[in-house]
Amino acid sequence: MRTPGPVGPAYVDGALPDLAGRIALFTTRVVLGLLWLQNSGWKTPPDFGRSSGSGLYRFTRLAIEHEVFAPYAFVVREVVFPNFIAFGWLVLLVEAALGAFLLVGLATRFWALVGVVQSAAIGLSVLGAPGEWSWSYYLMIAGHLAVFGVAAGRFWGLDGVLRPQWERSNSVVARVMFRAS
Amino acid sequence: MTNSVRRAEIVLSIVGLAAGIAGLVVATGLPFTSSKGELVASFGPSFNPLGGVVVTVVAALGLVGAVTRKPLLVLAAAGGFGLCALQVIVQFGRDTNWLGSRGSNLSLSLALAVGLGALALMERATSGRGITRS
Repeated sequence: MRTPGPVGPAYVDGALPDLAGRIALFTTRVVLGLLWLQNSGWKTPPDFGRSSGSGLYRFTRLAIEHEVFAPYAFVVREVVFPNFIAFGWLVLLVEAALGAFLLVGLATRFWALVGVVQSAAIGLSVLGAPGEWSWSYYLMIAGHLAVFGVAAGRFWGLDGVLRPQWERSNSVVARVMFRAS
Repeated sequence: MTNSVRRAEIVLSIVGLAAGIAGLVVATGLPFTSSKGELVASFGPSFNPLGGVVVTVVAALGLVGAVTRKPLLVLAAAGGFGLCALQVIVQFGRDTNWLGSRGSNLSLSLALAVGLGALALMERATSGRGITRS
């Protein structure tokens, strides 16, 4: 029988972090949330920097100008740039949602995985550019993996508050949220 | 259960209240509906005075709902923050931007909308079944 609260699939032996561990998990999750919240601020519609060659457009071009991984650069050149406005909206909405859900700790494991993917995509765009500190992106990926691995939303996050009820419910939404948390 | 939900509602509402008041402070001196807002602590969300007022009022509504155990008020606050998020999508980067907002406001508004919304819906569901223990 599963025990309500933070104990769950991520804690099969029932061992929970002590207070220092919970503070560390909470801090990591919130800082990652603030990272996305702040950085969704400069992805500016309607053209996301295309007309001035600045902002998201400039950073996306780095994937081609300073290629890191040829297949990724190919996708950016052939798929992203012909549909740049749609791409800009996708980036803005995903990063704003990452900030929102990690900040409040809702569906945290799912959004942490999205954060891993988004951090990797950013890394593949700019890692080869002059002046970039490559460890920034490795650390971002590692941070999101940690939040995913320990299900950090269960500590002082909404996942911890709502999971017991999701576990008792038979609704599809509750089952999805239980797995995503 | 309900107590922990209410605590979370109170915390989220206070976060919204703090953001709104900070927005009001930094936006002092801007025209009331300036399309370009002022950043809070150079950090992310930006507000003009109207943006500060709106976020403060909506967060206060959520706080009153949480304290007085009225999930409908909390749900209304969640809806208000949802509209704030929609305002960013419609007006960010354009000449008309009623709240002086940017992408970071979208993230903050979304956090408060989904957070308060999920909590209020859960509170309504559990109180309907008579579950009141924390």
